Amino acid sequence: MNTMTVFALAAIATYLLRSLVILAGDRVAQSPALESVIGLVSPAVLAAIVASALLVHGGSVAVPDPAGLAAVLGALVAVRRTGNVAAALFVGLPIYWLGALVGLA
Amino acid sequence: MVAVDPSVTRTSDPATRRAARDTVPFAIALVPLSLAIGGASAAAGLSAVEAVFGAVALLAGAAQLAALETIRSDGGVVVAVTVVVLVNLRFVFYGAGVARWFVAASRRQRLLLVFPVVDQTFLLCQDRFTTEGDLAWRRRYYLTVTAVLAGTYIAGQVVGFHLGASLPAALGLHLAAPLAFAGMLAKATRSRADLVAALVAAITVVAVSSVVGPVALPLAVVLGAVGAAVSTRKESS
Repeated sequence: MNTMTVFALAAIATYLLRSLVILAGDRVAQSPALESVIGLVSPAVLAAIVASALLVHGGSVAVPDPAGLAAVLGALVAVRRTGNVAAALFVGLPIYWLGALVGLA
Repeated sequence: MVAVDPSVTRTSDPATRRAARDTVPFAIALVPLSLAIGGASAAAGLSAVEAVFGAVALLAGAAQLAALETIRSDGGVVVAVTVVVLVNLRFVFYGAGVARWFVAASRRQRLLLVFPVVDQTFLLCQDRFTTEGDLAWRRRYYLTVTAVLAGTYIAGQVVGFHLGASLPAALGLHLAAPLAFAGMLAKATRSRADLVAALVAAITVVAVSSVVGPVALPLAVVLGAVGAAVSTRKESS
């Protein structure tokens, strides 16, 4: 299999996905139905990625490690309270390190 | 929802400064991921040129990893491209975001601007552009976010390719991306509809991952966003 060919074709396909709505025209892009969905894509993508990172390993559902779970919960609370996304890392990672230190990772 | 009125006032905060500030947590979170992808490229037997070409042409971490896995298992061009398309289906929504944010730009400009849109760009811009910026401000913000993310992503892959990306697991850097996304999630769930979208997507991705593999993420996003939009519309009618 030619690696460059795979990446080139995959890149073209990905670009077509990205540009689909623009190519479809302003009537589609500005439609109220799309507007109501677009605003909800962010929470859906974020929750799916976080849940997948915590609960899916190797394609199967797995019990999350307590330190990782505590870190993510801590990050959620920290950002809720501060409104600063960087707090997720500054709070979450130390929680994980502490959890790992006491054998919860 | 998204403000598309080009007459929205320009904010006093320079776009580049605000974009750089907003992007820092995501750029930090991107480092371990890009190192890991660089390492995976080396492990799959790619040359440095092939690895960098994959990073630049795709600009999509999960899809690049999926393509590498297919290349490694010699799954064929059609399978590799199909897997990438499935993993990247959510980009249709991101492209719709670009179409709306830059409605005042020409179609050609929008077709150029849409090329580098990724998860983080969509999330940051969707948040910022709801209330802020005329076309020039938005374009500067968007391009700064893109430059910081793409620079970090590609540089990380180059380093990972050469080092083998064997970071100590105890550092917990594999959690950096989920943590940054969790932080963004805390900000993105403001209404009941947001919560419904998040819950439906989270439950879906966990429930169907073992059955549909790479389709789980786009399926979860579609079900979450569309389901929440429909339930909100039913309630308000």
